[in-house]
Amino acid sequence: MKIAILGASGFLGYDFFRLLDAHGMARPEYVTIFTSFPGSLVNLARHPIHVRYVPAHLLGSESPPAEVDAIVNFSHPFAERDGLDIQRQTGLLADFLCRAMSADRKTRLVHVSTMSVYEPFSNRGEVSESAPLHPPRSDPYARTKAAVEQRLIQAVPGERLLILRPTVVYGPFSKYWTDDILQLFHTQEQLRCGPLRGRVQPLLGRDLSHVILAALQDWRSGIYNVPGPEAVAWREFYKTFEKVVGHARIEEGQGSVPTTRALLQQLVTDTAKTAFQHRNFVPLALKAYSLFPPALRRFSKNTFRQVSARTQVSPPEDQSAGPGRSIGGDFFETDRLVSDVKFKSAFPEIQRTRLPDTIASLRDYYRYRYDTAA
Amino acid sequence: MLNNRKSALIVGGGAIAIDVHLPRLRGILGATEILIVEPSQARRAELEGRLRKMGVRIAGELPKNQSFDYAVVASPPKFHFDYFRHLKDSVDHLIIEKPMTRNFAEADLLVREAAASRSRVYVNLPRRCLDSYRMIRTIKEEGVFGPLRRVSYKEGSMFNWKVVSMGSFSKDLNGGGALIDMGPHGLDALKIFLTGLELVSTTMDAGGEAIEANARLQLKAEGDIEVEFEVSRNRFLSNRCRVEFANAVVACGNSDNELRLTIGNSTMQLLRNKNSALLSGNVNALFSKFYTDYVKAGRNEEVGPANAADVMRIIDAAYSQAEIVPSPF
Repeated sequence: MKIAILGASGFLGYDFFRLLDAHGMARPEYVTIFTSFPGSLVNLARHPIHVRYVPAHLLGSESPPAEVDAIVNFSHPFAERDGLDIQRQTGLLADFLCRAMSADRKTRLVHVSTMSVYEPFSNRGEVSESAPLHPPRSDPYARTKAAVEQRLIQAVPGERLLILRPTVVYGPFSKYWTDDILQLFHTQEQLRCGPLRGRVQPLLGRDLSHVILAALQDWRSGIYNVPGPEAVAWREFYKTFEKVVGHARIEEGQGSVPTTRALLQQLVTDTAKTAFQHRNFVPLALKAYSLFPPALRRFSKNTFRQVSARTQVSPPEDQSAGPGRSIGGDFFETDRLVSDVKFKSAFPEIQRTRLPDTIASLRDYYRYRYDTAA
Repeated sequence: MLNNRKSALIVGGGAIAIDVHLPRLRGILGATEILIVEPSQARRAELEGRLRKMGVRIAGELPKNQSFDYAVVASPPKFHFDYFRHLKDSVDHLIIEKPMTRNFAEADLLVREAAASRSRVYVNLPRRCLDSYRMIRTIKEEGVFGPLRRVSYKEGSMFNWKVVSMGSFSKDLNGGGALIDMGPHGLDALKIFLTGLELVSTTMDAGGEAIEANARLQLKAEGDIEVEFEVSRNRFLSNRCRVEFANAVVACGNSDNELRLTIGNSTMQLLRNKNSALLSGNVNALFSKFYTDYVKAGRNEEVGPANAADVMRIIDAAYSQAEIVPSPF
């Protein structure tokens, strides 16, 4: 089977590649890797691979993969690159995938989306695949993910398209839901955090890889939520990492009523974040800047640096205050649950891994990543 | 070269050329006429937009029959030797980025040709500027804590350079991965206080055309000093050099001026330059010191091609002898 993989250098894509490799399916003549960011190739480059490096701004003119049985897309822009904002990059990515699918009528597409398309969750129980998608403007990651889905649904015949919406995916090299958490526990004895009562269904990355491989070997089309096997509170998720690392503790606070000052600060920060992300912000700011006298230019440059440092756009999966330096806030108090009824019916053979059963392998990974013995 | 106007050439328009060398050519060496040669049209267009107001010229090819006071070769290592040959008799001071060459054969040839050329050749290995390794050498030479028994050098973190090409992950362009990327710095630093380094064994997590993210070398120095050398581009290692003497352990950060002495259960800091940017591991300060202490001073005894070639000898042997042990992750 010939496969083209977009985003294979990221955490999910790399795990899928390793699974293919374990099955003898990853030789260069079978798999072509597309990447727009060579800096992320450090793991993947350890394998003999065929890589097509396509800078983001050239995706529009790049020839799509030809004569492949399947395209698996893990790729999604997380930040501005090559002068393009994420909305523009998303459009180019969707165009590329649609062109690929119309060029070869036998190719199938597996598109890895996200449960974030269901935002805001608002504690509404388990969300099914038929729920309408209205992610808020303040969540560009969710909006662009939903936008790509919509483009593909409109352009690709349903029988050739598989869209997967995984939940919180963790495992080796998952930056936000494993590596950053390990880093926090590795460097701090005690982690103070807000309430962690919201529930999620953490999914081990390898389980998602098994789903994709199963679909490629025995094709299933459609849209499926792919959650982990059980709903757990965030505190249980973080306590798993406590056990993995062994020498740090989480202290969960009960939350407090925010002050008016804190509310105002949050409002200003969120508004600034949204403004900075708008595609018109930079052109307008540059225009205004060119009209400033020199002294005002220096002041505005310094002010912008300070403000943008404080309103740094979080990585998309981290936007609702993910692990990072602090753990807490609304994100961790809200249930984010999806229905797996349709998934279990279509993929009955897939065994998903429970959190406690991952501790040993995560500990091995932790010891691999952190060898600080001098 | 005009009176009082220094000219400089930079070959390669990548991040290291623009962010490290360009400001130092201007600020420390006083170059006012600067030409950057960058083969990629797209990158040239980007550089022209960024550097137009600085008066820096951008070109796609090396100029013919032009001399320069300074030149920096910051292309992929595959082309280092060819660019050296092209420039060796038209440049007064020639800085070559590490690794000096892709392999020992080129390095050996470069040493000989550099000795007979107009250029004074420097290899950008700025850890030579650190005081910590020199102090370890002094401690060793004076026998303060008895004979040196064992050295462990570990350097590793997640690769996060904002690269704009496949160079860092191309065997053809770069010669390898973690070892040839990080090895020159570390092995050259060890040479500050160790002599006669010889390779005993190597393990890597990838070989052939694949690019290793981890390499571990076992070496011997001066006949009987055991040296463990490990580099990684996807693991967090201690980033320290630990030197065991008979009666004490001295440890330093790989790229900062921190130096600690441990005797029994007591540890103290030996270098106390708390305000020094070098102490905190500020790499910008280190690059600037390299330019000031070596290039501006016209001194290349410690950072010249001979030292770099000896390092390439070890790296070359490591790649050819490596046992490949795939990583579990």
